[in-house]
Amino acid sequence: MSTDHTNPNPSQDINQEEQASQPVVGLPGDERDVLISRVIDGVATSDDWKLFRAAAAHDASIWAELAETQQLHEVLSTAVDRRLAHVDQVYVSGGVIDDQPLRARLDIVSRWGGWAAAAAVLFFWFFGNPVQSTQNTNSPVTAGLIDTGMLLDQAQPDQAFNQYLNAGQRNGQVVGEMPEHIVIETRPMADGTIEVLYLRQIIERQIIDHAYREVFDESGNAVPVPIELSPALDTRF
Amino acid sequence: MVDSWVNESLVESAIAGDTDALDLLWQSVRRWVATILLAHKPNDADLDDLLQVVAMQLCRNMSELRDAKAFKSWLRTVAINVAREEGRKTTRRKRSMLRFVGMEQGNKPTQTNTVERIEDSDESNRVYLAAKSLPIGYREPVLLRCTRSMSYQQIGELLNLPVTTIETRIARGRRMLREILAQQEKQAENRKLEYRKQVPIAQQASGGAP
Repeated sequence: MSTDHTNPNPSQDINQEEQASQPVVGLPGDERDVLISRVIDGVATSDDWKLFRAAAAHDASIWAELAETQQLHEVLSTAVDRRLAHVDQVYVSGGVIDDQPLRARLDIVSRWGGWAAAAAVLFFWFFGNPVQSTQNTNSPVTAGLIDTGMLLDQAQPDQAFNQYLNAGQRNGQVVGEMPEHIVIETRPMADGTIEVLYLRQIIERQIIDHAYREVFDESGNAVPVPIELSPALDTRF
Repeated sequence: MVDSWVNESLVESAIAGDTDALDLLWQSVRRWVATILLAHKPNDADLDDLLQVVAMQLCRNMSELRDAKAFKSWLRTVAINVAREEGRKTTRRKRSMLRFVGMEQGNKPTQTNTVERIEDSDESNRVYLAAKSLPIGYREPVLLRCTRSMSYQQIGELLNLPVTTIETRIARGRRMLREILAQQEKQAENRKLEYRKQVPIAQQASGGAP
């Protein structure tokens, strides 16, 4: 790490544009701050120290400022270090980024994306709105009754939501909830509280036996075309 | 041990296509690149992901660099652009989500910092978020100075500013940081006082129960 080549007199370092507007007893504001910074950063010269002691003799509060700023710098360095903890694991191995996992994921998306879209279309066509379904005896609406005997319209939102998760996991429709909530926005309210808008992500699964691909006819209208499904030899991806 | 500052012969070799040199060069710069990203990225963006994007751009575009001396400022610009693009994406994504549920509030800026303030209860996060709220001209040198103590000279080279300006900005940035934190403490104290004043009033309104 190279050493700093700073002017021994902080007041001469501060150019006109950077001059402080708030003079402090003993030393002008910026000069005082620069002196404190130099001491913290270990680049104070003997002249800086003389100036510092002279300032402290005039106004002892400079010592408290030094201690406080030093502590803030240490705390901030720790916070930055904590955030940089994993950056040493980001490599450009051999000059080529290893983006194989990313490309594999993109391949999967491009290969299965159409199917997923078709499956989504099929889901609504064949199952309809799950809430209105009468054939699905383990539907989220009735499942809660088994657990607690509480009707969903009497339950608190969190209770109803948990009933849905439990019942869904039992019948295999719900795989789980992603642990992290995604914060969309926060708004400070007039009463000092904070409104937080966030997403909760649930992963669900459905087994389908029919799928459709969406194609467009010559007039540009979307037309569903049945896809012939055949058993997969290896469904892992 | 890799030199912590930029070695120009490594830069020249990397420009010429030497992949080992590029690898070593990346190892020597990635911490300050990450700090530049920290200074410019939205709070909720993942640092490691953004750093990976910068590394990818370095690989792809390094050979187009004409002057080895321009490497540092070029890489800093790449990092800033990556961080800002992520910021734009985040804002667009959040706006479209809010629009979808009919809760968009005009063009008001979002205040993600508020949530981080709630989640980050410990002292170091509080100080970090206060540093993130500094004007960018002060934020960047103050954070870079925390990165394994980059010297004023090195920070000046990176930001293309005279050492004296860097020194003044770091000193002034630290003072601003003290003032922001002091103000936050004062506000918290005022809220507590306000709360104490309101509680007896609420109790009186509900029939004087203790």
